[in-house]
Amino acid sequence: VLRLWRIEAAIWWAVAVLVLGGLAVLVVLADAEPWVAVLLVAALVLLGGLALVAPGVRYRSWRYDVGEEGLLLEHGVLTRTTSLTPYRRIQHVDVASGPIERSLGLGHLVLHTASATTDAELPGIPLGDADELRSTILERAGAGDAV
Amino acid sequence: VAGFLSSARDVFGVLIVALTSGLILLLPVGLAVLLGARYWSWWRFTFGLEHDHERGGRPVLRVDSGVFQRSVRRIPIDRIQRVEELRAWHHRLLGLACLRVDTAGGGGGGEVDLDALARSDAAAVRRQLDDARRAPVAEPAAGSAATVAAPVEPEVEVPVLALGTRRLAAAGITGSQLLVMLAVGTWLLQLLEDVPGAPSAEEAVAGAELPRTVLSIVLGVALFGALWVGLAAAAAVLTYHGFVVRRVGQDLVVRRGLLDVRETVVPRRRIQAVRLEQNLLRRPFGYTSVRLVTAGDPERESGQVLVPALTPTEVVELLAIALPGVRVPPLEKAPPVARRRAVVRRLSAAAVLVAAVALLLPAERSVPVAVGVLVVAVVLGLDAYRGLGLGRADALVATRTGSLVRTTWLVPDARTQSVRVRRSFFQRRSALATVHLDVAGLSRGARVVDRPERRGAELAVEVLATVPR
Repeated sequence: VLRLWRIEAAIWWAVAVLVLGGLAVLVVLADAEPWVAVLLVAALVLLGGLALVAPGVRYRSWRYDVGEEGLLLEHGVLTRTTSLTPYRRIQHVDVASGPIERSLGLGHLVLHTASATTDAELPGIPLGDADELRSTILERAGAGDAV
Repeated sequence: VAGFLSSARDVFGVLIVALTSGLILLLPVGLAVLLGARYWSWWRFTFGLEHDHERGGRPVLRVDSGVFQRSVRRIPIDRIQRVEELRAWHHRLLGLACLRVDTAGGGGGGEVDLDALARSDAAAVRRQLDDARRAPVAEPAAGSAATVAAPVEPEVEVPVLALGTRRLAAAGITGSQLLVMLAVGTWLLQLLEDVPGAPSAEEAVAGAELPRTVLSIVLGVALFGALWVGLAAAAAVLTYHGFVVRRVGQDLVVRRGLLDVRETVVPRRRIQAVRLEQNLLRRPFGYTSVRLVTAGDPERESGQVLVPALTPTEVVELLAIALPGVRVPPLEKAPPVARRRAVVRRLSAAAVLVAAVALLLPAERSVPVAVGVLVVAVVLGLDAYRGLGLGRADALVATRTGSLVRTTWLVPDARTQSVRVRRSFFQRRSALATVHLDVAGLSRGARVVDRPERRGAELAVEVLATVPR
């Protein structure tokens, strides 16, 4: 999953290069104040540094435990969040994967409860294991309507 | 016919497009397509009660709909969160009603409208839904795979509360209608100014030959105030006219409205949480608004039952019925370290405002404004700290937050779907945490703000300990 996040960060940075770099070129061509171009380039360098460091920091902050009774998640760098979702509250479980995830053989599992604010998403699950994990969780969820 | 009338907005849209584009000849075609589509959609919409043999013969509401894409929905009756009978102006004109059935699904997929039913049919459908919902689970008959329907007990009806016109007007004057009316007034002024050739409000006032005396200004302001307050009161009376809550067996039945009449049935066991709200204007009168939260589309919280203004005694009486067997615990204050967080939070928001003021105004004017904003932020922060409260009793969390509007949530443990404990960078420095209780039917869950980290973690475990294993 670290590799996935690094690729995603690199893509975001590439988009920033296109937008901010393009603006910097326009500023130079239009003979505008040179400090504006310097500011844009500095922002690009800063974003580049963030794109390099953030995935590793994010990865180190991620913990999860698929327990017997429920799912425990811990994540966040500036704001740390600990989420507890009992399986008995689960309405349905989604397995989803984007194109980059699929190319790495990964997907993410999203547990839905009756609350729209539940935070229960497991990233970076090998696609081969995702279906089995989903079945295990649904089995533990039982058959109550939970609302 | 009600379907056509309810698409009056679409008809109006077609009219506007035809008139503004000059394609007036296309108007009959547009209207024919619109009304034809409506008719076809009505023709394809059918519903009925059937029995789901995979679920022990429990009744299911089946709804078939769709013109190009056919859809069949089966809603188990025991999953219904709320049934509402709505009689908008066009329904009343034609002696019809719309039955809105809400389930726990979100994103607009959780509700079904059985529209344009004759009143007698609506009552019959409601009775059938209620009977099916209240009927005990059918037991398999001896020696047979079939099920025997258990008899439905007659329901006892008990009046719970009724709000008179005076109370409703007070609710309007002290509630959100006041702001709504101000927004509507501003919008109308804007609209009038946009009329070609019409003078702006400033020009109209400057051009009018009005006496410029202190008395006339005071009278003008008083007249404007009276009009504003009067409209707010009238809006509340129109919306909540004849507000009555009754208990019918295990359900709460709420009826309200003058032009659009609504009667909502909320099964008491489906109430997920209760929100009590008291704004600055209501505090001196002791009035509280009460929202009974049921699961459903969180984007449609307006569909939930809102009791506009109750006295403390009435709140206790309503809670005793909405959350039977639950005692509302006394609230304990947040730790002193939370005071600094509450003030700093408001000061940070104020700092942004101060920066904007400093950029827009000259220094001699921006300094007093900035000082005023910062003082208000500190006062609001201290008041917000005083408002923080947490109580635990009888498997229920009571939590209070807010400054200008104090919000108290009552969330039974058994209704909590999940729990999140969040600690921001600044909270971690003070060893504080905010606990979010995720409840069905809400776009933002209840929050226990700024409690010691350890207490937050304990609370999360306590709340989820009641989830059946």
